[in-house]
Amino acid sequence: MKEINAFNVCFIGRTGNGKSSLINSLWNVGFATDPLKSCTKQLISVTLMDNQIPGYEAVCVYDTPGIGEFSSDTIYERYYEHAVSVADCIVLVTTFDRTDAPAQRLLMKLKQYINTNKDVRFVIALNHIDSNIITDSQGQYVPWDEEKNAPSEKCEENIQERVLLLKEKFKDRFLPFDVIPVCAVRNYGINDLKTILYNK
Amino acid sequence: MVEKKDARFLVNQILDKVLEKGKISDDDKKVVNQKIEEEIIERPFRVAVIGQSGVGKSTTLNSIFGLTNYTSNLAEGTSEIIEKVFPMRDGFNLSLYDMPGLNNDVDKDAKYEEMYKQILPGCDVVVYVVNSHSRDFGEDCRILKEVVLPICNKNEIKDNLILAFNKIDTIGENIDPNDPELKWNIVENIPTEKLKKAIKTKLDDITDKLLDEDLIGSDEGLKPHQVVFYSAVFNYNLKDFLLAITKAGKRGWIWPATVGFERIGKWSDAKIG
Repeated sequence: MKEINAFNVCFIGRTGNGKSSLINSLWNVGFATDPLKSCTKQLISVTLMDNQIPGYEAVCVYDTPGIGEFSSDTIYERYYEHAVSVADCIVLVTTFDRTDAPAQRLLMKLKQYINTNKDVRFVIALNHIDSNIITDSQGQYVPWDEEKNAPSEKCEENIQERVLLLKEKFKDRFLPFDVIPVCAVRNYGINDLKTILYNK
Repeated sequence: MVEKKDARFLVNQILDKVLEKGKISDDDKKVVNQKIEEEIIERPFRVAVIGQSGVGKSTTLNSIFGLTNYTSNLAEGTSEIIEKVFPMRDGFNLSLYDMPGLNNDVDKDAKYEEMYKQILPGCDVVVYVVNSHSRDFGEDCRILKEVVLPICNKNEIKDNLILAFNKIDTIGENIDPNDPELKWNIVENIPTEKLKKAIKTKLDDITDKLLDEDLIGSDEGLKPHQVVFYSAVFNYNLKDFLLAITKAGKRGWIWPATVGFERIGKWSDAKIG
């Protein structure tokens, strides 16, 4: 039997940051999600025939368990190592929450497993940008312009601030990267992200 | 009881009785009084509150430590921690160290850890606040085991530590935000029956995890009274918290006199079971 020549995309991120829902909006694969508890407790992968990526006939998506659920992620370590070592593209999913050290630590640890024979790409997806948890001094914050299905002006400011912060925090820790603001549930930024992933 | 604006009234009467029994000279009496003054008046009750961001450190300070409208104005990247002293009743003082939370950035973490090492040993109570429904409680376990407990053990102040699970009122909202039965009963300030069950399940879950991580149930871990579950915004189950502070370390006993018992009436302590 002949192997499928797949482009491997690996998703990593803190628990609850919406890795699985983001994957679902990108490829509609129906991974289990739950707002309350972690669903992804194994390394889950799915292969989809997809001729959009030059040089590949399919895309293989890896969804990893969330960072932070256990004090030591040793149970999951092998999953991460495997996913990163086969990846053509690694996506870190994050939110406005600035608790970035767990992801920094994990990526620094995984850097050694990146396949240096390939030109592996790294992307940070800033998810949940419609979250209204961030409040301004008046305690009022409208994050979303429903009419345009886009972030409000104030939200856009928050995004820019967060992007700068991420650039500072992850600089030289793993690989060079772009930050793409997305909102999985509102289907915002999904195409932009896909374009970057596929490097079209 | 007649209240005097002198903190020593609490101990003076007892002390007088004790001193009467022993044949103690007036000079020695003076020394004893001086020591007491030093211990309970001149040295404020020192508290450090730590925890990841968004767990409700400020609301905890407001409700448990009797401060009103305290909000943290800790700038990101703070490199110096200032002791803030709040005058409490009867001449007692509460001193507060508003500590930056860990886990924002690896470089900052290293810097903050050094701060923890300097400040925590001088505190009478160290409160580590956890969000009860946070999904990455594993990170809290890591911080406790790798950072906080080693500092406590090295300085023999493990008895000063309180592991405080805040926001038990919002456990229901996280299950189903549209279920009115899972909302807090604001009128009586108690959880509804359904919410009580949900809270119980969640607390059992947390307890199992604490056991798994050896944070309780072993010699290296904490004693049961050092782990408390509460809601700072609803003043719920603060009684356990108060008890934990009173039992904490060598100076916890000063705490009730510092903040007073007047507030207890406003607290809700319906039992989860």
